[in-house]
Amino acid sequence: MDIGIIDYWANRGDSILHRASAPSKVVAAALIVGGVVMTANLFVLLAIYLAVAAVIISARLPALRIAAIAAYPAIFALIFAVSRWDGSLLSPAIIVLRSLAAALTMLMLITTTPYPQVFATFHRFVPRAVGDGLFLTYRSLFIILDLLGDIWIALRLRGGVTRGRYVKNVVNVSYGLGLLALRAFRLSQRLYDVMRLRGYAGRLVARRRARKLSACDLYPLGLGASLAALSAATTLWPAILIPYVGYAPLAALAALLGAAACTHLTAPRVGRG
Amino acid sequence: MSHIHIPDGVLPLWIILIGWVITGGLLLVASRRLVGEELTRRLPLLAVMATLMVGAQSVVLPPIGYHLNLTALSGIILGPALGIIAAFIVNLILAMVGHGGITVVGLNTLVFGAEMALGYYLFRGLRGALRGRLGVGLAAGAATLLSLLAGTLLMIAVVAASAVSPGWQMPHGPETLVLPNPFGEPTVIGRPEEADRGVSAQVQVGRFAILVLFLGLIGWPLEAIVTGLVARYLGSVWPDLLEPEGVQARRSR
Repeated sequence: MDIGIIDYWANRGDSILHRASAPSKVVAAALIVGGVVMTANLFVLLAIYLAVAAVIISARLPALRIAAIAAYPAIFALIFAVSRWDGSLLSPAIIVLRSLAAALTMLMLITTTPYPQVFATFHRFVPRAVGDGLFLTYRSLFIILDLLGDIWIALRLRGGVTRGRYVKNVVNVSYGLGLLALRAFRLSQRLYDVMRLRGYAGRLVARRRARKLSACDLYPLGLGASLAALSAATTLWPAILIPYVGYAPLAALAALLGAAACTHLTAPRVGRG
Repeated sequence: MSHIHIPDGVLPLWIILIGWVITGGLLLVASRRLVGEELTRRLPLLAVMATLMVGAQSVVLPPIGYHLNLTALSGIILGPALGIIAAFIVNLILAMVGHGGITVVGLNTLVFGAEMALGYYLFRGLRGALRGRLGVGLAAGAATLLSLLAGTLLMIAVVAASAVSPGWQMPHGPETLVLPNPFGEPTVIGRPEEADRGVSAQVQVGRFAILVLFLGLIGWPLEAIVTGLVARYLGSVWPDLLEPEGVQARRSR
């Protein structure tokens, strides 16, 4: 999982979704995740998953790579699925697809919205230590990930990690992590000095965008509302809608193929591939 | 893997809400301890420890998805109050990149926080009995092993509680799936009788516990060894980090 590349995609994209405001995308993600956990219909879940994938493709992001990142929760979901085995493939499929759809939705949010903007959306609603901790963690993340990369390269170049020497590898990697921890603590001391110097008064201020709804905001809000409505309607009125809900994933698949065709025919995609 | 991140859509709404309420309360209590100069002083350390945990958990070994946690080590360094804040930050960031559920951040935070708090107290307790540089590593390793076991047992307890009352709509049994056919009769798959009765496929807690404990028994010793070695390294280079000066002075008398 490369947090750095996710941040790059969020900051460098220029699609309608990238231009939409962070609060509208957070609300859209909340609506879609709410729709995912509300429904137990496989077709609805499939439709939501494919619709979110179509939106990611239309934002000119590497959808396959993002889908691969979003596949990680399936490992944990499989454990729950096996524990709930009732002789049918349907229950495990629903459990796994729920986790996949929710994860893909969060990735849609975070690959089109820089972390600080997401944090700024709910910064006012959390305690100071939590809000400021989120910003400082984001700030430290890339420094420490760079340090981790350097230490890993150094370990390999100096023979600290070699094939066949498993015990020695574990010991050397552990000491490498210890060195990383030391450098992280020194970083924390420098951060403290900088914060004192710059007059930190107990609250980091996040840059806020204009509060007016723009046309770009209607796109994620419309997506979130329609997917949540689909889920709610099929949950509340199954007898009426279930005969027709099988068309939903077909429609989502058509949207996905259309998005893929459009992006393929137009400008090149953002990202390192 | 040394512990499981609960994904979205597997637990009922009522238990998810309880998780959020308890986590919110603990965050408020912990935050009240961090004001003014104390906040400025401790916040950077909290941020870098949260970063180390995020970094460790973002390095995944295929195919089982195993990764290090560093929860016990972070708990030893941060303590329980800062630990719960760091646990929340880590779970929120990981949920945003699809590593664990976003609706269950509250519950995952409680599991992490329990591991960190136990890691802290167990290390302090064991350190009293185990002296010397080797003692630091052994105490940290043993604290890690026990705290990860406790965290997993807590998660099993949460899942067991959810099985008692699966709740309103989440999760409920698979509804009848109908493959539409615009030219003729639709094909029905699924189990209509169960859909009509609203039966939910409940978690078999025993089966779940066996699976999770089996996977944990592979990961916990490895995490305990790594944490012990890291603690031994830190103990020899920067002892104050793991043990305040007063504790060291008392131990050396």
